Amino acid sequence: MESTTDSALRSLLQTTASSKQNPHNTLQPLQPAVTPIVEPKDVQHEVKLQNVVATVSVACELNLQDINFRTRNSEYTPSRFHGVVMRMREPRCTALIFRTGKIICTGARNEAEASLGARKFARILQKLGYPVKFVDFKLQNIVATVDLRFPIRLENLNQMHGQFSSYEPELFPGLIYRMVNPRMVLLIFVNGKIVFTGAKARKDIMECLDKIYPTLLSFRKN
Amino acid sequence: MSGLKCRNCGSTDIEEDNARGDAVCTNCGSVLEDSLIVSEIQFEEVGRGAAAIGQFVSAESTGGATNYGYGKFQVGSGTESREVTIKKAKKEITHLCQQLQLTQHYIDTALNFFKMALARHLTRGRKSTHIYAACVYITCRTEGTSHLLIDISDVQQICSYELGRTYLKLSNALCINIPSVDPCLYIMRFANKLQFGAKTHEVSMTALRIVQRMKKDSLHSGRRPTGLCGAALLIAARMHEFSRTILDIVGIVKIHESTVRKRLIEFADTPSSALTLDEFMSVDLEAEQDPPAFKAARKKDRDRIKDIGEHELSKLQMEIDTHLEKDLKRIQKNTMKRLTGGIADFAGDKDFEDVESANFIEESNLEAIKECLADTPEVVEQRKIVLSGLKPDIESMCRPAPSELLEAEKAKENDVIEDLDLEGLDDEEINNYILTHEEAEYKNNMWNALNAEYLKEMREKEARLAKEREEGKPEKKKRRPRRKAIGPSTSAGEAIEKMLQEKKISSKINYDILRTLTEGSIAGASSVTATEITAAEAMDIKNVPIIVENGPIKQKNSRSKPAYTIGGPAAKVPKLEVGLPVAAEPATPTKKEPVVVENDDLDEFVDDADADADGEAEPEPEREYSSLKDMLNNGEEDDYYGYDEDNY
Repeated sequence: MESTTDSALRSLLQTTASSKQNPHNTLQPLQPAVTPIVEPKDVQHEVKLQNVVATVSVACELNLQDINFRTRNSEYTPSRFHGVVMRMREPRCTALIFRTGKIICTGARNEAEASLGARKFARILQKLGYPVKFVDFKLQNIVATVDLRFPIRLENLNQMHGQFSSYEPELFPGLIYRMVNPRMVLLIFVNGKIVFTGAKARKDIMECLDKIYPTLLSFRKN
Repeated sequence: MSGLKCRNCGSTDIEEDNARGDAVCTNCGSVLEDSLIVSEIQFEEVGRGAAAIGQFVSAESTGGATNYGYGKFQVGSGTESREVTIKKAKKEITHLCQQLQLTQHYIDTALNFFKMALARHLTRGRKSTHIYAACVYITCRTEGTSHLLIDISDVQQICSYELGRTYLKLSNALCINIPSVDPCLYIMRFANKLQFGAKTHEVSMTALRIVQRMKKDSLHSGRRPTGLCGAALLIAARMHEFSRTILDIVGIVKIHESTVRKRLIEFADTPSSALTLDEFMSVDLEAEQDPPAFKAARKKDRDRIKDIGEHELSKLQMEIDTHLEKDLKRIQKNTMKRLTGGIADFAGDKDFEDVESANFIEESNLEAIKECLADTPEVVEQRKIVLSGLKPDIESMCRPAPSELLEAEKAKENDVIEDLDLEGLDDEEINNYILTHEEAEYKNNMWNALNAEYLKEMREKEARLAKEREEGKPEKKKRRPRRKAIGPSTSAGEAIEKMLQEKKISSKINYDILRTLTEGSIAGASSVTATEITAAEAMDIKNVPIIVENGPIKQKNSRSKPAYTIGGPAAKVPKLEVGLPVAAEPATPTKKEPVVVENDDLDEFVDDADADADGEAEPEPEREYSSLKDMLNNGEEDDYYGYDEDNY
């Protein structure tokens, strides 16, 4: 805004006082300096959900072998895992279906997909003739990533936040930060990328990011 | 010792014989104690030479039932199981440390870590080898020796990641703040193995310099220290005209060739790699580089933007530019109008007006610029205030998150929809997932063929179980779920109740009767315990009259109220502890609060009441609780309890 009015004034001067040599003529309109500091509000838009895990119960006993035979998209290997693994194209997600009627739906990219996917799986079971209900739908875990676009000094962060973090480059290249409230785990990498896990809702992640952001900013390199 | 009284006749005339190790009442002749513990050593002549009299008691033994009575004949037996555990740990840790060429000092430290872990029950459910190794590794890290996790896992023959997990768990639970690994530590060690002969020191110094440079350019963060050392040593070796291949290095630093290569390439990307050898040894570049991973990410970003297509972007840019132009023109017109106003009509006065307005504008511009110049340093400073090394904020941690409050509200509403909501479900799509009858048959056959072995196994298992049931064998016990932590309780009685439900402490106590004791009231309970706590109360007697002097009883109540969580929320206290030790600064305000409150209560009274309040308010509730617990723990040993305490 400043620059525009400034240039407006300049052009005004040029048109009006062309005879007089104006020192302002040589001035270039200044762009406001680009601050590398990204506000947390902006960062929040960058958060990408990667995986959503939800559980639901259909509240009836299921015959897993029967389900496995009659569906196209399922695997059942009881010697390895006591549940039917059922996959779906749209939304792209996978369900683990157990004898007790509990379903774990993983791999969805957001909450809506998780809900839709879970309902679709329940619908498939309903079509197979089970008295299906839809009880206790709950998001269990949300995994999200964000790129903060500034390098972070992991050693210093680990030193100051020792009781919450562990950084062992011999074991894992990232710093593992266990936040107490909201109860989540963050993987913080040196290139400024962060992975959030253990969130039960999207706002947990936002809250967590809001909390950790000033800290990370204070440990940025340069 | 002189305060000792005979239990039988009450006489204080007791003779102790250190050589025999007993205490005898000279009045009635009863032996009050044998196997006395003495700090001096005496020797006696025996057939084979001299031998120390008596038996050594280790500093770690807690006394108790150690060797009581038969001690002299059964050496080594009758020790507590904990002592056995520690003894074993000591042996193993010593063995491990010797393999790693660590001195006695390290052994002791590691053993102390083990004892801490043992006291907190961190050893449960973990393999002892892992615990020992983790303790030794913690010692190595805190003392800064050049041992790697992989060395220890190598010696112990265990998975290094498994060991790493144990180590992290231990160090976290014991609140040991371990400094990050410094790759420089390992240079010397690896240099010694590379057969540089007389030049070892020089080479390692060069390597050290390279590592320092790498650290400055943040090549080290998130990377194994060994890779860094390997790359640095390779460069250093070649700088000193030793022919070492990457493979030579790889064999010693135990890291893959490609990793070392990658480190070398990353180092080549930094400006210091462009220096000549002499320059590198003498010049320190000021600039620090961003970590390679960060650079790579930025490069990726740039590539992606390029991929989007420059023409698209330029189109967009053109559009934006035209819009901006328009806006600019409009603004210009507006300002023109505003400034020149209707005056523009008067052609004759135009020149004069123009000069005037130009002057005015110039002046105002200058002023504005001056203001701007004056402002900028402040603005910059404000930006700078933000931060260097923020510490964890405990207050914000303890505050319940808004999401939690919302959830609690939601839980109250609690309306349940149980039926499946069919909205947005495409039946046709779902039908596609379901197989026809023939297809199902086909899949069934295939599955049966694939899982034939498993099905057979299951049938056998079922048959076996049926048979066992017929024979009347008891079914296998299911593992009991782990006990939950005892929650907070409001009174001592309740606490006992909970503890009794939790576990039966001794088979020799009639719990029903005990319960009747506590059921009546807490007052009843305290009267029972009164006999036990007399000794403890005797110490308190000094304090009591002073308090009475200072204020009425009412005040005492008010004082004991803030008393730091009396029946304590047991679960909460350790949490606070976890938070406190490191972040001393943010912790102090939260800690101060209760103290301030207390001062408000007290400031009418004499100053020394403060000291009393601190001394009195805390021990009282604790004493009551601990004595009750003691009663339950060793009801029959009460006499010994008092006696032992007097002795020490």
